[in-house]
Amino acid sequence: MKKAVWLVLVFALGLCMVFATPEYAVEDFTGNHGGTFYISAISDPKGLNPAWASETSTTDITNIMFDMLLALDANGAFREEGNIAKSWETTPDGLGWIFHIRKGITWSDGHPLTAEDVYFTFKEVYFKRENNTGSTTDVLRGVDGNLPFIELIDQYTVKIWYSQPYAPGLLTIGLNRPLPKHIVEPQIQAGTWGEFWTLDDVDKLVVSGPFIVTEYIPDVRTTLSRNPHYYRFDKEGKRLPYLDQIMFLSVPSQDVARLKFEAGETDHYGMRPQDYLDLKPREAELNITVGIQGPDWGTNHLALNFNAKDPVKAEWFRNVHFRRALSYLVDRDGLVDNVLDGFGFPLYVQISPANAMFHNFEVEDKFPYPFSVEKAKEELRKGGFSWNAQNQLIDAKGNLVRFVMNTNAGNTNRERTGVILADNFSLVGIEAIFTPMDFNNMVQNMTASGDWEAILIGFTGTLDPNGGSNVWTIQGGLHYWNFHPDTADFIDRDKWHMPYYEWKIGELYRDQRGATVYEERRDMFYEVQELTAEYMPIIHTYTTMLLFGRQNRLMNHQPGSNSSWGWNLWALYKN
Amino acid sequence: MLKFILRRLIVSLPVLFGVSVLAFTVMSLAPGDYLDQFRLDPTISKSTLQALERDLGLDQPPVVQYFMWLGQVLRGNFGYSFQFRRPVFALVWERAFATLLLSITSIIFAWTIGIGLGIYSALRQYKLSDQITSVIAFIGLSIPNFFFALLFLYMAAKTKWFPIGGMLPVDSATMGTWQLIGSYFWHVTGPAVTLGFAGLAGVMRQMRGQLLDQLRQDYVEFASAKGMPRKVVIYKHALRNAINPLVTMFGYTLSGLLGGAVLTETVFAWPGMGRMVIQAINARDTYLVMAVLLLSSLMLILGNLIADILLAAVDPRIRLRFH
Repeated sequence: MKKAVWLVLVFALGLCMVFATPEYAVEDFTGNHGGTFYISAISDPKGLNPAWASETSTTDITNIMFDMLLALDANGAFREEGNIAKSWETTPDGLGWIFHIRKGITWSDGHPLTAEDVYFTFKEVYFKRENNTGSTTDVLRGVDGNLPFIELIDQYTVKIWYSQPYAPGLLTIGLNRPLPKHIVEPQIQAGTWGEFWTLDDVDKLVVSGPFIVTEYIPDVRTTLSRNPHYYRFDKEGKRLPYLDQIMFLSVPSQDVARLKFEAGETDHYGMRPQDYLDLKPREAELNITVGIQGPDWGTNHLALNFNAKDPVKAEWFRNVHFRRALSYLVDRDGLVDNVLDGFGFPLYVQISPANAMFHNFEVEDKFPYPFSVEKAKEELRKGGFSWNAQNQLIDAKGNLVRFVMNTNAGNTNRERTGVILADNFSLVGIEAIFTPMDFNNMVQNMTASGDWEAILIGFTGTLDPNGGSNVWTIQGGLHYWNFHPDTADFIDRDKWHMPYYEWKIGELYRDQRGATVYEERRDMFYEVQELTAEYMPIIHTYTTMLLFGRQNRLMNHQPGSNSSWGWNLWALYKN
Repeated sequence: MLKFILRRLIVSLPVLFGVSVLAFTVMSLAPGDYLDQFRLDPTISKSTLQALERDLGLDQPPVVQYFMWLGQVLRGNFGYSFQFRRPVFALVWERAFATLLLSITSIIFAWTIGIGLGIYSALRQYKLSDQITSVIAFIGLSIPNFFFALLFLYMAAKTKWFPIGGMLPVDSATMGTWQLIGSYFWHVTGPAVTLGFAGLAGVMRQMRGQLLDQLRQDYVEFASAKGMPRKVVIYKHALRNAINPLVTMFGYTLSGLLGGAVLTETVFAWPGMGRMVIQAINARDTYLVMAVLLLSSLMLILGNLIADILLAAVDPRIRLRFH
């Protein structure tokens, strides 16, 4: 009897090995099939190719069509199971990772999706600058600036490794989206990849994600329909996604997008603070839910040009006491209240509080800059400044302190910030002449001529703080307030100066990439933030809070700092 | 006649060339280029930016860029859009239908009502009805388009009489042809009324003034004196003479057929040319802007030509000749 049981067991095991059941993802959600999810989009996608997508209206669409190798939750942390790769493990030497691709899953055309597709995508598309926007390849480069190595172990296993330990490696690799080799390879060979999957090629799409674009009407709408081959199921065994369609309606005006949401024509609406204040009291009447997603990953700051064309001004801007004084005059709480209607956080450092793993929450207590005219004056005195008879600030040589402060015109938040800051600075007799200017013009000044004095601007955030390397390393291409002479030819090598803290921050940004132990790396970023708060190389102002509105009929919606509605799109359904 | 048209078209070639030089110069003089939006992206390295510059030909001096473009144009290739990676004219044609639908309906709206009201108020000069129509016309002229559009949309949202922007209902894929045509007109009402209301005032004032001028002429007095019925005097004699300047005006209107209306299109989410152009200008998508500018200049030339032909048709004193 015992023998018979064993025989059956062994036989069953053998069967399993021959007919391996597909490794579908099973999600802890329930819902009903059917329905269309309507959403307003401020502008159309510019193409359908994830390798060439470079702005959000395009990536919003391509990210739905092509699943990442690994998976993120609503707040941008790794989920236990990946998307295309079911699991992964670090190699024993700690230099790389082995990804186990889900067995038995297919592309939307029924063609099997295997490790070969993953291998091909990295090798031929993402590792080759000429086959993507370029930033994908740049981001994948390791500590030494070299691309990782990749090896196809078997049909379901891929190994990717660096020659030196690279801490952001897993995240940068895991965020990439495999492409179908059988479709893409012929295009690359024919040299037509650059013009493939444009908006003309809706019928040529083959995807891995829950939805696929089936209709594009220029400036009217983009429609995505369910991918019948998707590899996700709910816990009751229903194949996901639940929704039949997603429709991005092209609505270029925010006011009209809000009208459409209020009228119930769209299911989700990314709100401005004013919309929140207007609609929160009307939640029950309109049968909607209005809420807070979380802090934005992006940051805003005021930068002063260490190499301003006027040497007198460059001298002030390099003076740490001067910058600290300005920091005391940046009324961060006031800005959050007046510019963001209270929906934001005061910010002192380059890593947004959205990044809970790396944001240093203690910096505010260690290096506080409460709004204080007295403290600002004290710092200015320390920095060798004084006041003339008219109460205007003058430097040690008697020059009146006045400078031009720019921002990009049309960004109302920054314009309002600039007006308030200029007003605050005038409290100590500094004349900041606030002039919003054309965006392209400003970028040229920042990166091509270096002819600017002060600029209010922001950077978009990245999930891994290493994304700031280009901004903070000494030779970084966006270290724009104090470019290295090797990076920018308009910097005069003889007059250029790199203070200790700038150098130290740059070193930390370089070294953290090799720190594969989380705690060690976190401490390095903590130090970066402390140095930034203490010496204020650039003066951070605030980060915004992301707000959302949804119809109550939209179910399973779970907003987070990294997801307005997208992270579990396959689970959304309408009641 | 055919000879006249041909010669006019040939003479317009240098004009188009001049327009292209001027447009390219202005685009090149404006600071920045298409890649500026990438220059502030922390994830893109300097070497990648330089490679992109090379790929797009933006590292060449503007004069070289212009002649490279011109060479391609003479071979019938108007270039690719940087943003869309597609031929520019594919993008233009996609939006041509919506743009024409909107401009034609709004022109019909403005001109039929404008001419009608113009005649009506000219015949009732300084009476209350004349004053009222004038006030309405001036309101149309003075309300900014985007504001009128927003008012219209609030009305649409409250009453549900009209859709809240857009050109097609979300279920258009399953509609029959006639239903679809009906829905086009239902959707075009808002933007067409918005645009037409602004254009109406000009047409109406012009019509009124011209007709009043004619009514004061001796021949009108003579015709009335010899006992010709008033209707014949006005509609057959005075109106025909009054219409000439309006025909010229109409020619200019034709030139705007494909130009699009940025603000109205934006508020009404209308998929027209204006939205694309403004986006292309902001993104410094040079070749797309050039294509639209050339098309607009061509429309201006054609519009003027059509106006001249129409003028010759309505006014027997005018002969088409070419020196």
